[in-house]
Parts: sequence; C-alpha cells; structure tokens
Amino acid sequence: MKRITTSLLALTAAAQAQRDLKEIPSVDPAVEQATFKLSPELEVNLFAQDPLIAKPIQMAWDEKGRLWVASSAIYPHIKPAQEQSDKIVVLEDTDHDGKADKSTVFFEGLLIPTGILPGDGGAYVANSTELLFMKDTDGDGRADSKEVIMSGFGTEDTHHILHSIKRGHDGCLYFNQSVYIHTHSETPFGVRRLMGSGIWQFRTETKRAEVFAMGHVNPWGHVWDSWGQSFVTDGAYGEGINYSFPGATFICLPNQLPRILRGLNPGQPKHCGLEVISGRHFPAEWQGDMITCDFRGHRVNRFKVSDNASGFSSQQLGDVVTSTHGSFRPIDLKMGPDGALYIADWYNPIIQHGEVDFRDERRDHTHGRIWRLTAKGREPSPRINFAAQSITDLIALLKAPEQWVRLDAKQELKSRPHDAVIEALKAAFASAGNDTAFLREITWAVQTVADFDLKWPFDASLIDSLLKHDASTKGVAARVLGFVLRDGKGPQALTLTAPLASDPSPRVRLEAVNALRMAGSPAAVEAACRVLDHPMDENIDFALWLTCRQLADTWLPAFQKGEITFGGNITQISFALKAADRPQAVGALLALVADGKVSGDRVKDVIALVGALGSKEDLQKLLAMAAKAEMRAPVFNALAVAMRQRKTAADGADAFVRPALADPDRATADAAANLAGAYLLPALEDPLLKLANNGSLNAIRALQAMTGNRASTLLLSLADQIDAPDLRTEILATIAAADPAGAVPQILKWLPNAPAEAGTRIVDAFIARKDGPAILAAALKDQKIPAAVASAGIQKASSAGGDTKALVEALTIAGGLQPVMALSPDQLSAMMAEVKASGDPARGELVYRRASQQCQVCHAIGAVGGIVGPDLVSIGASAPVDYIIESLLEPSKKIKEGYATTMLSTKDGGIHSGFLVRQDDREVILRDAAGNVESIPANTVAKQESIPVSLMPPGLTATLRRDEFIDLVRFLSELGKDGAYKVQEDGTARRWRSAQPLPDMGRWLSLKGTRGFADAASELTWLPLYSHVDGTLPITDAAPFKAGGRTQAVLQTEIDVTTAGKVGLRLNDAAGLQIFVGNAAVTPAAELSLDLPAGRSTITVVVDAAARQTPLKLSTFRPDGSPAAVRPVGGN
Amino acid sequence: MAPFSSRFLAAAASFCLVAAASAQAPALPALPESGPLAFREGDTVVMLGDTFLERDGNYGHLEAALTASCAGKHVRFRNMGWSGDTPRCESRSYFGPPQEGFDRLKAQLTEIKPSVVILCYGAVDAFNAPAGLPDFLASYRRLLDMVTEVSKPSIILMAPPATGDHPALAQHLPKLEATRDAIKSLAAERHARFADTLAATLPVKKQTVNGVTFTEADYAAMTPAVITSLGLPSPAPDDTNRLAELRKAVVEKQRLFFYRWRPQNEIYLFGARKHEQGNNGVEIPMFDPLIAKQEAAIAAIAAKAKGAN
Repeated sequence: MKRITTSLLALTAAAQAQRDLKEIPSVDPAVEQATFKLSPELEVNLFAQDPLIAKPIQMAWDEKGRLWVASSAIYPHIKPAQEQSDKIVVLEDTDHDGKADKSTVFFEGLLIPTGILPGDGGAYVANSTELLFMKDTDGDGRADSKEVIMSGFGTEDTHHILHSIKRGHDGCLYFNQSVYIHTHSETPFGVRRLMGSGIWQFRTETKRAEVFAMGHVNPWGHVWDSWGQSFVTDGAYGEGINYSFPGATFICLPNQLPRILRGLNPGQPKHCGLEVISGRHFPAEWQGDMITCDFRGHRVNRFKVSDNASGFSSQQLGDVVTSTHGSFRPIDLKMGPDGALYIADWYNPIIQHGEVDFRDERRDHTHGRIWRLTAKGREPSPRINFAAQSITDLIALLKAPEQWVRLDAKQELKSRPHDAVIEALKAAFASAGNDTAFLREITWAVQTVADFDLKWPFDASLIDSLLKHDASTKGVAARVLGFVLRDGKGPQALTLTAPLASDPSPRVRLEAVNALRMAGSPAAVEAACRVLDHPMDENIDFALWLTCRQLADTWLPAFQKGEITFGGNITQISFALKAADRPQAVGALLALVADGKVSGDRVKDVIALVGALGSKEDLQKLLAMAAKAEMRAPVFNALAVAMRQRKTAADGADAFVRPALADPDRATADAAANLAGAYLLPALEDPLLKLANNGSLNAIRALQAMTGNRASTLLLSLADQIDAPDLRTEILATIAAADPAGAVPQILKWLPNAPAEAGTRIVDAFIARKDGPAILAAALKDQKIPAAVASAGIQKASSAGGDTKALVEALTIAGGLQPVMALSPDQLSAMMAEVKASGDPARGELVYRRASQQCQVCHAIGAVGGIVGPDLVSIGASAPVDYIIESLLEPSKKIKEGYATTMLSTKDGGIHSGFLVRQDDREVILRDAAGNVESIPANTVAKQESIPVSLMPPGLTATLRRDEFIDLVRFLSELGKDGAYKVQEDGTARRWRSAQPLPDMGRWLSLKGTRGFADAASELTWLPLYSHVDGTLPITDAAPFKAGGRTQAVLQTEIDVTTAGKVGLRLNDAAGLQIFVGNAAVTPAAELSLDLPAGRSTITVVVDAAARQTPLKLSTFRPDGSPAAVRPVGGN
Repeated sequence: MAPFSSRFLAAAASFCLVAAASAQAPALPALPESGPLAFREGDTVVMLGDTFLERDGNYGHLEAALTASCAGKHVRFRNMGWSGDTPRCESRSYFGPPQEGFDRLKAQLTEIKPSVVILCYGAVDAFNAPAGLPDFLASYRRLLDMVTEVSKPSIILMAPPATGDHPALAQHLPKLEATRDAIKSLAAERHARFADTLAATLPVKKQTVNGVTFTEADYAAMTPAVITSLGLPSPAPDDTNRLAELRKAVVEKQRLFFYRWRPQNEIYLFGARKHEQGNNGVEIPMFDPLIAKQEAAIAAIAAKAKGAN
C-alpha cells in the first residue's frame, strides 16, 4: 500500500473558490423544509423567504406584532464601488395565517447592520461603528430621521461587530460585541472603553453606557429568565448556556483575567442566538426552556436550566430541529406575538469569513428564510393591541405568562404620561400582596419608565417591601439597589444593601456583592466581604474577588489608614488583600501571617503573592519565614520568582539554601536549588551535583546558570555517567540552551540512541535561541538519527517561530523522513470524492484514537481530551471536507481563531513560542503543543508578535496509509453532524483513566484487595482514556492486569455533584463489573441511586475481562424528585 | 506594460492612503497664528480628534463649510477623528497599547503629508480635569512633536466644544474651561493658531444626543460659530442650497475615505489573521480612485457655489 505522502504531488496554489460547488444544496425552501426533523410536539411552516428578505441577522417583534429584520447582503466586506445598501425590513402577517404577507423596507443604506430592536417610537440599529436610533416621523413606514446614539464601536471583524440588541426586564438596552472588537465611546459619564468581548448595558433615559459582563468569544445570544437573570450563548466557544450576572467574566482571548467563569454545558458545539420559551401556546413542560442554534450543525438545541446554589445548572434535552440541509443556518430565535417560535435562517453554505475567502463564490448573498415553529394542536397565544389598553390594563398585562407581553406592556407604559404611570404602578404595588412575580414586574416597570433626571421614582419603603418577600424578589431589589448605588442616589441604599450579603439565599448574596461593587466605596467593599461568613460558591467567590480587585485603589488606602477594618475578621481581610493583588497589600498580609492569623492553604497564596509583588523589605521577612521547615519550599520558590521577574533579592539567603539542598524532603531541596540558580549562590556545586544526579531539574539548571553561557563541564561529565534517558536529555538540553555549540558533541553522541521525546526537548532548547536552529542544523549534517527522534524534533521546530526551515530540512534528512506535500486542486477534489465514497467513520475513529497519531493529546471532542487545539465536537458540521484535509496536511494554512501562535523575543536574545494563555504587566504565559505552560517575565520581553504558525505540527498523518487517512477525514467530517458522531450531552462519563499495572500485581492485590484501586492515596499510576463519540469505552483500550489467573482492567472517572442529593448512575451493562464510588463498594445494576454530597466523586470500575467484552458506558442522571445536580467531569 | 495583475499592483500600494494622482505639493509656509485664516492652493488639511470631528463625517456641516471657504482652490480634507480618542491615541490602537495607535497615526500621516493639521482634543480628558491636565498636555506635546516631525504642517488647536444639558454634566463647564485654557497655553507655546471652540459653541442652543455628542441639527447650528472661531469667513446665509449639495458630496467622500483608512475586518486584512484572508486587502486601495473622483465632484460644486457669490 502506498503511503499517503508518496501518492501526492507537491503543488502549492489551492483554488479554494470553486471547490465543492457541486455540493451547494437546492435553494427551494420546500427542499430545505423536507430535511427538517422536529421535536414530536412541534410543526414548522415557512413564515418569510427571499426575496421578501435576504440574509437575516437579527430580528425582533414590535408591540404591533410586526417583525423587524436586520439583514446584510454586503457581509463580509463592502466592495469598492459597491453601494452601501443593507436594509432593515419590517414583515407583517396581516391576516394572521402564520405567513408574512407584507414587507416594508424601513431603511436602506446601512453597512452590515447586525442588530435591530424596535422601541421608544423608533428602532435601534447596530450599524458597524455606530448604534443608531431611527424613526418614521411621517407614518409611511420608512425611517426619515436618524441619530447616532453611541459611536466608536470597533469593526475589526464583521461577525464580531456591535450586535444582538436586546431589552432587559429593567428597561435597559443590552448589546454585545465580540472578541476582536475594541470600542471607545464618549458618554456623559466619561469615555467608556471595552477592549474585547462583552455585553453593554445602556439606559435610554440617562444615556449611561456601562459594561455589564465581559468575555466570551462571539456571544450572539442573550436572554433573561422570568426572575431577571441573564443567560448567554457563544457562537465561537463550546460551553452551551452561560449564566451571566453583573460583572461576570468569561474567557477573554488573549488577555485573560487570572480567573474566569465557565459555561453550564462544557463540550457543546458553538451556539448562536438564544430564546426562552414562555406563553400559553407552548406546552407546560417547555416553559422556561432555553432554545439556541447550533448553526454549524444545522440544528436547534434545547436546554433546561435549574437553580444550583447562587447559579444554575443546565441539562440538554432532545433537539428542537435537526436538518441535513447544508445551507440551513439558524442564527436567531424569537417568540412571536402568536406564541410561536420564529427562527431566522441566514441560509448559507458558508458560515463566516475568517476561514473562507471574502469573495468565495459559494457565499450566498441573496437568500434567507424565517421559519415558524408551532406546538401541534394548541391554541395560539392571544395577540394584544397594546395601544388600545389603558394604563391599568397595561399594568394588569404584567401578569401575562408571555414574557414578550410583559416587556411590550412596560414599553407601552413608557409612552404614557409619566406621573400617571408612576401613580398607577405605586397603587398596583401596594395592592399586589404576595404576588411576587407581579411585584418584580412592577419594579421593572418603574425602572423602565424612569425619567431623565437620574432620580429613581423609588423610595426606600418600596425596596423595603420587596425585601420582605422571597429570594428572587430580594434578588431583584438588590439589582435595583446596584443602579441606585452606582448613580450615587439615595444615601439609604447602602444601608438596605449591606445586610443582603448575609442573606440565607446564595442568589441574594451574589446579587448583594454585585450591587455593593457598584457603590465603589470602601464601606461597600467592607460590607461585601461579610459574605465570607456564609457558604461560598464559584459565582459568589468570583463576584467578591472582582469587587476587591476592581476597587483596590479605593478601599486599600482606606484600610491602611484604619478607616475600614473589616471588623478585624482575618478571613475577610486576607481574601480582600489577596484579591487586591497590589504591592501595598503585601506588607499587611505578611503581618497577618507572622501573627499566625492566616491559616492553611492561604499562607502559600500569601507567600506566592509576596514573591510576585513584595518589596525588598517584604522579601526579607519572607526569608525569615524559612526558619520553619514546612515554609521553606514555597518561600524559596517565591524568592526565585521575585529575582527572575523583578531582580529583587533578599539578603542572607545562603544560610538557608545550603542546608536545604540536602533536605530529605525533595520539594524543599528542589526549591533550594531553584533559588540557588536564581541568586547564583557561590560554592554550591557539590550539593547541586548530587541533587542533579538524583534527577532534580532545578539543580541541573542552577549548575548551568552558574557557569553562564559556557557549557558546564560538571554537567557534561554528569551526562556521560547518567543512564536515565529523561535526565540525560534534560542535562544536554539545559547545556544547549546556554551554549548550543558546546553541547553539540555530546548531543550527537546521544541522539542516535535516544527516545523520541529527546527530539522534542533538544530541538526546543536550540530553537529558544536565535542562533540555535542554524547550529543544530549544521551539526546534523551527515548524521543519522532515529526517525522517531527526527519526527518529534520536526514537530517542535515547525510549530515554533523564527527561521527553522533549515533545521526542519536537516532533521528530515538525518531521520530519513519524507517531507509533507501539499495537494493540487485536482488531487484534492479526487480525495474529497474518495472520502465521500469510501471513507469509513468507524475505522477513522480508531485511527483518531491511536496513541501514535497524538490527536487526543491536543484535541478534545466535546470537552473531553486535550486543550491545546480547538475542540473538534462539531468540526464536521462546520468545516468543508477540503478544509479538514488541508488542516491535517498543512496545519499552518488553517488556524482557528484564538489558536494562533505567539512568539516572544526576550531581551537576552531568547525566543519562546506557544499559545498565549494570558498576560499581564508581570508575566506572559504560553502553552506549547505538549500542553506545557511557561511563564516569561514581562519585563524581559523585547518583542511580542502573533505568527501565522499552527501549534499543530505538519506531518502527523505522514505515517498513515491513504485508506487510513481517508477514513480519518471521513470521521472528522461526520463529527457534529446529525447521526452517530454527534456528542450527546446525556450525562455520560466520557473522560476516563486506566490504572497501569505495577511490577508485582499479584502481591499488591493480595495486600490491598480490589478496594485498593479506589484508594485515592494508592501508588498506582493512571493514563488518560477517552470514550468513543457514542459514549462507550472498549474494555480492551484499558491496560490489562494479570493476577491470580484472572485478567482485569481498572477504569476510573469523576463526576461533579454541584447540588447534593440522590444521584443516579446508569450502566449499559452491569455484567462483570465491580464498582466503587469514592471508597465505598456499590452493587452493580443497570440503574443505581446514591446519596452523594456536593463536590467531586470518583467512580472506580473494575472489569473482569473474562466475564465482560461489551464496552463500558456509564451515565449520570437525576432521579425523579431529587434536588441533586451532577455532571461528569471533562477536560484532559 | 508588464503583465502584472491588478491584484499585485493594488497589494503593493496597500498602505498608501493617497492615490498617486494627488502628488505632494511643495512645502507651504506656516499659516498665520491669528487673524483671518485662508487655506491655500495645494493644502492638505487633516482633522484629528475625537467624536466631535468623527461624527461630522456623518453630516458634513463642518467639512462642507471648510471646503466652501476655499472654493476654487485645490484643497483636500481628511477627517481622521476617532470616537473617544485622546492625544495618547488610545482609540487608534486596535489590539495593542496606545503606542500602537500613535505609531499607526504616524504612518498614516506620513502617507498623507498634511500641510495643515487641525486638532480637536480635550473632550475626553476634561472628565479628569484639572488633575489630569499635566498628563494631557504632556501627551499632546508628544503628539504635536510627531505631527511636526512628519510633514511640518501648520497646526491649529481647537478647544473642545461646549456640552449640552445633562444632569451628570452639571459641574462640567469648569473642567472644560480648565482644559480649554490648557490647550490655549499649549497653542501659545507652540506658536500655533488657537480656536476657542468652547466659547464659540457655548451660546449655541444644542439638543445633543447624550449631553456630550451632537445631533445633525446641533452640527448645523454650531458650524458657523466654529468656522468663525477658526478665523475663516462664515458661509453666506443665502448659500444654503448649494451648501446642502456640497455637504451631500462631502459626506459621500468621507464615507469612501472611511472605508479606506478605517476598513472593517482589520484583523483579517492587515492584522493577526492576514495569513488567512489578507489577500482581500488588495481591495482597500481600490477606494483611492473613487475618493479622487468624488473630490473632483466636490471641487466642481464648490466652484459653482463660489461663482454664485
């Protein structure tokens, strides 16, 4: 069989544009509709189509029951001499038959409008750099007045620009921008800048614009539940539904905060748009469900969200719509005035312009559909003529089950005489009794109609009455108090808010912390920190951390002057100081540690903070702490950081380091070597050499550091005596990094016998220097090295920055490898046809899972697997086959957004490259292709650039036969499409690890018993193992244990119980299994129900290979009536 | 001609912001520091600032009036206002620190080679006045040094305009005045013309969008006062219709120039992802001839207006 590389000719230019044109599906809506598979309760009809509309992006209903649609034929980029002619179209269904029969062009002449929201007597339109407000003043249905409400929105990427304009229950406008956008906008409260992705909150009455939440990659969905809580979806990230409170911060590339929040459904495909089901038309079990679009997989997904401590958990339900039509691109959803769910279908075989040419001929500019989903056999929701309602009637409509009716009623109230509305709302509030839903709506109505003078028509007694009700109502009150505190109105607001930080409800405590942050005063920070006296969770901890961090310049000086004291509560003080992350905080923290007032793990946090920020004086105090044995390792490491990052040292370290190098505790000795290397302490060669001989990398590096930029003769001789391959490689790499030429003779001696990993490490050492690649390339001339070593070295060299071409060539020749070749357009077409005709996805999945292919080391499928590269969960649904083939053969040609390589040149001539994890003014953190994380002190960086090189090395598939390659491509191209290769989020555990046999397994088992496998403290080593896409794990993938005449395999997985209670476990087949949850044995059965506490639980499964061949599938579920929330743990 | 594709030629010119047709005129002497102001044959006037200038691009009142003031002469205007910008060039930086915005502006000015630069900064920094004024002035000096180094243009410093009614701005006027005074002293120090836009616009009745940015009607109302404060002759009141025609043509040119100097999709065309779709960058210089054509149309309308006077 021919190898793939030899069957391909080397040709370069790829004529992407015309390829795959044959697969463009029919534009007939009937053909498209015929492909829809619907949830059984639903049916679908076509509401509107081209030419009535083309390329719909966002849609919104007005209070008259008309559908406003923002659409762009210009996207992705205006052509020279092209007319700026994008439109806002208004559709009407005048005879209420479920089909649009009237269309009016409200405005033509926009540039890629990506947001529309009718209201306030006109319509808000997102128009690239501007947020516009347009009005039809003469009643002809067309806009004749246009004002710029805000400007300065960035346009660095036209599918990231200002978009998704929504109206909150509170009457504010909310709109989003995505990760590449940098916005600078002048407001009456000063300039506001948002660098990256986030959600803006805009008060129409005061024109105050603030950033409500930050992060996400490309968030196009934002809705509120009936309690005013926000949920967000991300069109370029895979965590499903995201719970977003004020200040919530999610992934923000590349300038990641030190901590972020995560979505509720990790491992989902990317989602665009979001709607929450409400109203009488949909069945009861759909109420409150969140519906979003997997636009790449041609699907509409459904999630059920439920309370989970201060936040939520989210469970995926069966799909609402699935389709195999390649142009069905659901991107926005809105509940309509009849209670039906309307879906905007962007209708395009091409979804975006980052990876496909702007002018690709396959790109559709003329079509678009709006589909209408109704529940079978159910009456439509009643349509409301809002204009005909009295103020009293409108207030009564705030009780409607339809969320849009309640929103429109509030909007209509805004257009009525202000004072009369306020009086009527006050009266309704007074007589609302315990109808908490109504009380919340009235509160929001008051916010919605609030007038321009920044005075809330609220008095403390109204808030006070809200606070007498249930947690959700108190939460709404706290949110309102946040606005009041931010505006600096109402001196009693702080008094009302402060006690809420101690509320029994975690949701109220979270709202209180967020509200107190708005106040921005030291007293408010002090009040917020009282939340620490109560149980904390991820959201509350984040909110408090953000509060203490954002307001550090305000509260820290007040604390230092004694103006606030936190009541002397050490837990609160140390949390606040640590979160502040400021040099001034260090002295105060050290004093607390010295007094023994800081406990446990927090001491180590403090020590690390001193290393990062402390003055020389602080470092001196830190060193003194090394008198205590258990403090030595963290203290030495922190001092080394201070030296490397800031060239700040404590005096007298020698006396501590010398004895510690011989410390029997290895961590302490290692840390001492680390500090010896950082401080270049003299006369320590002997103890360091001894330590190096025992495999201490820090000792090796310290020895080399002491020799400077010459090869360390001590290390060279050590390398000669060492047999352990890892250590020998490490020593030579360390020498090479300092003196590449000096290391060459020993390296040439070593490489012919070295394992593959040596290729990676040695090349890494050479490419870290500007002169390194050329030196190694020259040295390799006429040498022979093992193919595996060469291949590993090539992978490293080709994913690095700098000029490594000659080195790659030298490694290729020395290793006797074939170079990777590109495909000609004809070859590519032939291969695509072959993938379609004969590719076998099941065989392809086995190729993907082979350890030698290394796919799983870097990539996850559905949040399970490596994190270096993009999650491939829906790659098949989103990427054309040609794209997948080219990505495999020439990774650097196709780099997913957010996965570019960053190259740093340091002032000493060093080069570091990798994925930029995050950076701040202290350090830049890179992750390399092996997943190793490296911190480079920011002050040593001379130049930082983003380079068009993929961390995925070329040639990974070079060892495959052509049929294997075809199968692999077919497997990848099926991922995420409807069918067997779509990851089901059904609670199945898909991340496993397998125990590796010990030398004398029989003896071990007789001592420990099978239960020993479940012992977290056992000496077993484990290797990661991931289930197939269908959730099953072949028993044969696990390492077999042979003992006592039996063959066993031991597998382990973890589940996260976020709310304690009865947790269900479901097995595909209980035969041949022993199961331990934690250390407790449980009797295997098809379904188990266990009482589990909150936190992480380990499930150990011991398989008797003789009694069982069927693959293992284990899923979690919530038994009826249980409050538990549980999900399997993902990751690598 | 060698068989180079138009794509290749366009790519070669991709960072050139002016078409070859509008070649650099010989250096012009400095404009007078005070008294009447008149733009000269061959002047290239860059307007640099924040939202106040940027948004005139939507309406054209200011630029149409500037254009009308020099009808019959070949004078080009380039509005490079950027919402929220400061003399530190914070809004021009895209993904990098403000210095990148500063460097980008320098590269753009190097291509345009202005003979006159009108700067209107201070609206953003006024929120930090008076405490922030020393820093504002230091960064302003650095910006002026750069502008001068690039093409030695005549410099005109405008004070920020007056704001409108908004409860949050009740105490704002003293901050604006302090900022204005600082800019005035800077102008004196640099021997540059100073225009007191604050004083000129304070008496004008303004609706404003949000207290700090202005409606089209506000621009119409403020323009005569702003023009006068610059030392230019105010357009004749009976010239309204022709000015409207001129304004329409100016807005169209500003739109084309906006596509040219602040194109969408920066990340793909010229930024970190140009390795993917950077080939599409060849289209951007193709706006140059369209801009030049529109400028010819503007000149014709302006000349007509002048003829009527």
